[in-house]
Amino acid sequence: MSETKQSTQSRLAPGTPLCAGCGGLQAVQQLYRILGERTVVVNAAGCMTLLAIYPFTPFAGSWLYTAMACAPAGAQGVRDALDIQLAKGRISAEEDLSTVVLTGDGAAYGMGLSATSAAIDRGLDFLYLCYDNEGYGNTGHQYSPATPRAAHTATSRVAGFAGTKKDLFAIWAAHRPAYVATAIAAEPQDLARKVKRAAALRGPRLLIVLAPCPTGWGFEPALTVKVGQLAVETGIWPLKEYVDGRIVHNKIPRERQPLADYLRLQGRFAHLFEPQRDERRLAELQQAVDDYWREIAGNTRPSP
Amino acid sequence: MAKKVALLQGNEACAYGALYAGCSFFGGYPITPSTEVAEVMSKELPKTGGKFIQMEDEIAAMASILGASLTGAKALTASSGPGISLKQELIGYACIAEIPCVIVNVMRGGPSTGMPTGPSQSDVMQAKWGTHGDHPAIALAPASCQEIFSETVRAFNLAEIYRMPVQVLLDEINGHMRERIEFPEPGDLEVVDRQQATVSPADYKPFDDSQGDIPPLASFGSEYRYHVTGLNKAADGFPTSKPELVDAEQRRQLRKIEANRAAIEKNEEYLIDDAEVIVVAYGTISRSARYAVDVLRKEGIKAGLFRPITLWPFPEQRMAELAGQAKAIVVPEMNLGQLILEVERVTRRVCPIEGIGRVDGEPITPAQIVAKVKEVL
Repeated sequence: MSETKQSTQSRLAPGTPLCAGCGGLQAVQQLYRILGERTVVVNAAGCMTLLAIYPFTPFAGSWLYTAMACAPAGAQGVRDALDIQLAKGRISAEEDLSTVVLTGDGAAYGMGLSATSAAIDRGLDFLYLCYDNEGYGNTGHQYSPATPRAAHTATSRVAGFAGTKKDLFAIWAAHRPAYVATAIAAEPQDLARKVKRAAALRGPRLLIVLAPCPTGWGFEPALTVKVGQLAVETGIWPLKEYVDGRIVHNKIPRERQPLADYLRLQGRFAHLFEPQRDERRLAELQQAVDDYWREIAGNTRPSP
Repeated sequence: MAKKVALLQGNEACAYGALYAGCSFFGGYPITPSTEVAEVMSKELPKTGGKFIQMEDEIAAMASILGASLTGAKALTASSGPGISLKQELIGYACIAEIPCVIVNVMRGGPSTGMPTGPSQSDVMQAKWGTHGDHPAIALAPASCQEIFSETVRAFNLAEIYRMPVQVLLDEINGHMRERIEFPEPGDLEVVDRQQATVSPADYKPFDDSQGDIPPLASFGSEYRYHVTGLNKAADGFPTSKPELVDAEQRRQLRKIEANRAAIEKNEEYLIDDAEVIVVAYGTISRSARYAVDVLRKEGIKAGLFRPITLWPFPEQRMAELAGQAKAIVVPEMNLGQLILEVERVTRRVCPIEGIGRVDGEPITPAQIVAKVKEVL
């Protein structure tokens, strides 16, 4: 009971300046609820660097900014210095802090990927949370390597994003770290279970949390959870984890909702529906989702 | 015929200036307060058959414009603060490999993240000394949206003529400020393209200075092939550590600018002829300075404005001449004393020189300048 009670209490103080309905903040609240203040959060430039307002911070623990490209490298120094203090007996095991890297998709999928690769390679004991809002939200939502195909952003306004979303889960998993998972705050139990599982392991542990973004994606803040649920139910955001060398899908929708149900709620895809439905492009996007699930159908099993 | 007019942000005017100059490639990365340059280019370049690309980071953005330029495109990037710091290695590479390109720096508070939405003029020395090694530098500091348009065109011209990176220094105020601008018609402003190679492909040397200090630049993809490196190199582009060749190359690269100061330097003078106090101001703050000069004149104080538009190379000869007639010089700038060092150096401090530094994210006001002028007189 006490654990349940604790898990519903937010340890992240209210009153942050983030946009209403921020799907990223929901995930960070969940993470902090479980990890608590005995953490050093190492942040790269992005929306979450805006959490503190002079002279207040919502974090009860410590927080450190590094440059956009190298939050995991900053975390390396923090972890190593904590280890030195532990080894010299200056702090006890109970006083130790866990090292958390917090970045958006711009840093995680792009500019900071090299630093993450190197940190995993070195076996750094850290937990990385990427809040993936599929664009550079902090500068006005330009496209990033996480932007889905066809989405309008501030730098793909003409015909929508021409690329496809990078598969960061696969890239991170290919490094064979201790743990990788995808999650979303609209599935809070799944997210909580994954954070707890990651927290209990040692070594590099990485979470990619899809962060529906009312401001950048163009939907009413009240719809954040709905959009998030549809991301899972349509199958465009598969919930999965990599642990012990295996990839497991945690929630396989029995009947996937049509992808258009998810897309049509978002202004960034409005050009696929107005002035008339772009059946060809919608079919192409649906096909990519169908192909994904067909491909993994042979080697997945639902979690118990 | 009436000119086409628009109400544009400085950053937007900069992008349209680049397009006027014939820019066909933009490689960038989102960063406040420069991102509008990228946003306009993302919309406009595809219409003209050009290419906009958002790269994975600032270093990649800089590298992409160098590749595009060597392949014949006029290329632009825009950034700010930490982004400009990240580009420094490749700015040096563009200097030594003599690759024309334009880098827009919309200056914000620093160091580090500083104040992303606050103005600053604290990258003046970085624009000259930011990358390591001895190297030439050209940096322009326009004040108004109209001038941002025309100076961006001039930046491309200078890059093409002198085969080197040129920096356009805006700041968060004039980058985001909206003003009426008149679009020049084609032909109204001079647009210069790089000198093309004319020798036979077999004889082409990318750094051959036998015809002058600025060797013609052939494009990859033409019939010419050549080797480009960041190492010190000889005329054929291949690395060398022969002292006499290295020395000659390094000196030639600085001479490109020194020997052509008259063609590169540009400044504006306002009520300067009988001025006893000269205010030296640039970019956004020159507008406060001009207002202050008017206020002082109304009060009978003979103040004048010297406004360098080319910060590097600094118009040192004219500055030194003017210092000879002045009782005092006041240098207001949104930093804690950068261009003032150059004013002190070139005038040999023949008169008292006082700075006004401001780094709190607010512009220097005319009242501050008026007060300082009265203090020094």
